[in-house]
Amino acid sequence: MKTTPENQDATPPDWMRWLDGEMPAAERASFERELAGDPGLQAEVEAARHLSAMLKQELPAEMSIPHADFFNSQIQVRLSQIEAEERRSVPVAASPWLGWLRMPWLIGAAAVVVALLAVRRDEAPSSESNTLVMSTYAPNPKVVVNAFHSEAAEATVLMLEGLEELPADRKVVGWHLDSGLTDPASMSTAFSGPSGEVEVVMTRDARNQPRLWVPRS
Amino acid sequence: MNRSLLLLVVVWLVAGGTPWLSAQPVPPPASPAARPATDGKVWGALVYATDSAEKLTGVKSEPSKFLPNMDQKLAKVFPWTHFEIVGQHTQDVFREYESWVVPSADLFLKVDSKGPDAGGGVHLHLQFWRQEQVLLKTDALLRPKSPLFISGPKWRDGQLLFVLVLAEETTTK
Repeated sequence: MKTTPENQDATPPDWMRWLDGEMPAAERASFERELAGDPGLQAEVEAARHLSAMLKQELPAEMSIPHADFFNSQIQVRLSQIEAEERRSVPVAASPWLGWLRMPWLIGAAAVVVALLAVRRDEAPSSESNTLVMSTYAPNPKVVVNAFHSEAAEATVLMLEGLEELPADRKVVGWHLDSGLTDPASMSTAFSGPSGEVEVVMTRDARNQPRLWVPRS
Repeated sequence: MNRSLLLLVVVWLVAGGTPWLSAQPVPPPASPAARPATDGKVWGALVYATDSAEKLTGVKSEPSKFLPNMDQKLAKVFPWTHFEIVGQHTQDVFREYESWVVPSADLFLKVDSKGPDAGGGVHLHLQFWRQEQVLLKTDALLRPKSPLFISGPKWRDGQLLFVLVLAEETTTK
């Protein structure tokens, strides 16, 4: 696989974003044009796809970590060591005029202020009975995700800003589905409605992306 | 062969008296017991939100039994006054492989279970899809009676919203 300076940073290569369905429509069309005319890129994508399929076939959906408790405790120990080393490496402020920063009463006052702010904030996540959002990632850098809990609505919210509008003339068709069962071998899923009949089927295309279709149409 | 002996052999075979026969692979029965293990059940809905009843699409749907007062709750978060369930889907969350919540072909959700939480609810990895594109990937702990609202793209004179609720925590062993 090519290792170029530009893909050595944290940004995934274009073909990886394409395989993962993370490209906006315009960028996807442009990439697919490039792909069609670049046999080298095609080979790279094909190799990645083959590897992905092989891994999915060979590895279980989830792997348990042997001796997980010991593993976690070792991570905690190592983190504590790193923190201690960092503390030692930071020079202590020697200036007397900064001495007030180390006063215990100031720490107490800061804690009270922080607590008051937390109480005043209506949207603070926390309660043990609330849905919690641990992490978010929007592949499109133009999309900003804001996660919060609304006490008024008793709901957790993921607000996505910067999404491309859906064309007004697009007909959004909804379904009423009661269950979906996946065939692990073919990775196709049949969704049934309240009557028990299959109403929608999901299959995978060559990129392993989901494709929905209605059998009766 | 003696007819009575033959009959005896047939009866013995049908009764399953031979260990080598019971050891043969038997196709799983099409019963609920054969269904894959789950970590719960979710209800997902695609909702069209707008500021006027006249602008709704006219889809008829019953209020959700999984999220009473859904409209009032949505109105406390989003700047819209009228809400309409365009599509809805109740789906088992499979333990071993992915599940999909597909109330519409336009916006849907891939759900991977990360296991139940000791304090209640299910840890999920969610992917929010718009047709062929992933809009959002998130890890969440979905708890009972605590819905997750996801704001979708603007559409017509309003906006599409996705609602996800933990409908059941029942675990199939």
